[in-house]
Amino acid sequence: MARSDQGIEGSEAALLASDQRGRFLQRLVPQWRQIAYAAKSYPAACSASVLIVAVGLLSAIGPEVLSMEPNKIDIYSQYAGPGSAGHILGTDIQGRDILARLIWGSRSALAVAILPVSIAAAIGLLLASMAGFLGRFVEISILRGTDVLFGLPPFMLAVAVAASLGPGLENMVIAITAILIAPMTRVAHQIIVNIREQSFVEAARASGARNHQIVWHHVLPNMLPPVMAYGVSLVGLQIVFGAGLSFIGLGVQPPHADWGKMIAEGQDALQDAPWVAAFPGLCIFVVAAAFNIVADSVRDVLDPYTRV
Amino acid sequence: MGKWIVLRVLYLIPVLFGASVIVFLLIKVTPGDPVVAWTGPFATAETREKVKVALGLDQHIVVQYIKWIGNTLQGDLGVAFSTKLQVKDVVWAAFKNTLILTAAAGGLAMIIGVWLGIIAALQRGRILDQLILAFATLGLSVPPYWLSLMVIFYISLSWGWFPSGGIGPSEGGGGIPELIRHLILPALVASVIPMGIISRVTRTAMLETLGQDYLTGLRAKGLRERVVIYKHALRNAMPTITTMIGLQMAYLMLGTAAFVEIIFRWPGLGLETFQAIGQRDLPLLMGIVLISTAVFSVFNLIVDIIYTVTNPRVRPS
Repeated sequence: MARSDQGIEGSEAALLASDQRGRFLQRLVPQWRQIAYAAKSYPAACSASVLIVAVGLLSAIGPEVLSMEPNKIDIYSQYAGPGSAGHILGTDIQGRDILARLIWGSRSALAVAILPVSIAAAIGLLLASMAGFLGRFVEISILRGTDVLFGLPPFMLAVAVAASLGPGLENMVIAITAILIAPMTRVAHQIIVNIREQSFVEAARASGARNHQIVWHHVLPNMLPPVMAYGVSLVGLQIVFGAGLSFIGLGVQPPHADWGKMIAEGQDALQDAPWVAAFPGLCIFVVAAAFNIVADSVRDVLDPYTRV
Repeated sequence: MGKWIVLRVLYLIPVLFGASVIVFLLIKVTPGDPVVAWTGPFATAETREKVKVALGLDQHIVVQYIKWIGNTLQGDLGVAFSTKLQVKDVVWAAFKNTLILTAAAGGLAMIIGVWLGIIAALQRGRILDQLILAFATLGLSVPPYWLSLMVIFYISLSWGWFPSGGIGPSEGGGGIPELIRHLILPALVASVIPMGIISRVTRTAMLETLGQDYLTGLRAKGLRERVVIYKHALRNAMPTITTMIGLQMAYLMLGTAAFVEIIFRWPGLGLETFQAIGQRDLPLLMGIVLISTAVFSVFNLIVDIIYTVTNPRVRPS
């Protein structure tokens, strides 16, 4: 009854809709196949990605959704062991819940790795593009500048920057960005040197494109995948390094929860309450390893000849 | 070749100059007035003015830099705020201890890392290769400060095997056996990261050479497999491996080792840096940064020269 009421136009629309749905499904299916193929070829990298997404979600919405209190002092349950009532992972010297502090602390742990890598990648891409397309003088000045930054040992440079600006999350991001600009710029420049010799760049120039147009439309899209792959490989190392800076007292200040800071707090109670230092370190280790495993597979895919 | 080396050495001068400017500017942007830090909060305006002139802080910033770099080049790095000792002496004593730790950890990482890399390459795709690769990736991801604490907890405190920190009775007075006893744990921990990286690079470099045709030729000639691998394949993979080892030693000395020193109370540059941060001792901190920058640059220079000399493919004509 309802069907016949729709008339010819209605059924045509339905056909069209089903056709579009079909096409949409057709587009989707190969992607699922690709994902399934990737999961089969790179099982470790896929589980690592799932872990990273889970940790990212937990740090983004976990603290609010789970409404756990990282700074609630409970002096009666000081150094409660893992598995004790209400504290799955135990408590620290002030009776604060370790799990709650770990979830809150994931924010600064990820921030000091992902933010500097992203900022340094943006700066590196900009400097490399300038070096690649603004002539010999600019190129030499920028490359010599990175040479100077390369002369400074990364740990000492970060310590000097963070100590000069004073402790805190923002200054630590600045410090880690400072040590990443030189390697990022150098990698991006090596890629751009290859790209600018390609014929499509020449063709774009011949058709009258300006430098910024060539960089924006032709060079950047080709540079992003390798630069992002390099960035992923840096994130894992910076998670370890950033937490290390915060461990030695250059990062977020108490009472804020932070993985590196938590290890420092657990150091004094190592003999009586080893879990205070053990769990945050385990978190750093697992998340950094996940990023490193993903980075390995990404490099495998992009550059099968230099498999490590 | 000789000309290239001379140019490469001379290039160190502008690099170090640029680095020294960065260090100097970092001192200058530090919040807090050094005059107040020097005189204390209750000094009169007159005293402060005197101290300001005495410290040369009334002069133009370029003049200040030239004086500072002049003193530095003459070996005068100033006086540490906290201990009133010469920064130069403090840094030198700490640097020697860091060198000991680096040599021990680096030696371990180099020998075991290269060995693991060769085994992995020969066993490509098999279970041993997978295990070594997994170890290398995990080793790369482990926070050295955390691993130090865990090693102290399990091996030192629970089992009582090795001392949990320091360098020996009353800071180094125990002779060589005591030094080695105190060195074992920190050296093992510090060697994990470079060991992982060196084994990965060795594996890649060996895989590249193992696929070459001339090795088949050598085998056809009747050479034993061990000679083919260790004498011919390894030798051709060596430039890549030595470069990576050199770079890793620099990062180990001025990075990983610093964290390990802090936990194990090993009186090296890292522990000194940590204490300087805690006491806001800026002259000492900048002295350490400056000296380590010089060491780091020279180290990289040597690595660069060795790589170019041993690798005919990149040798400048």
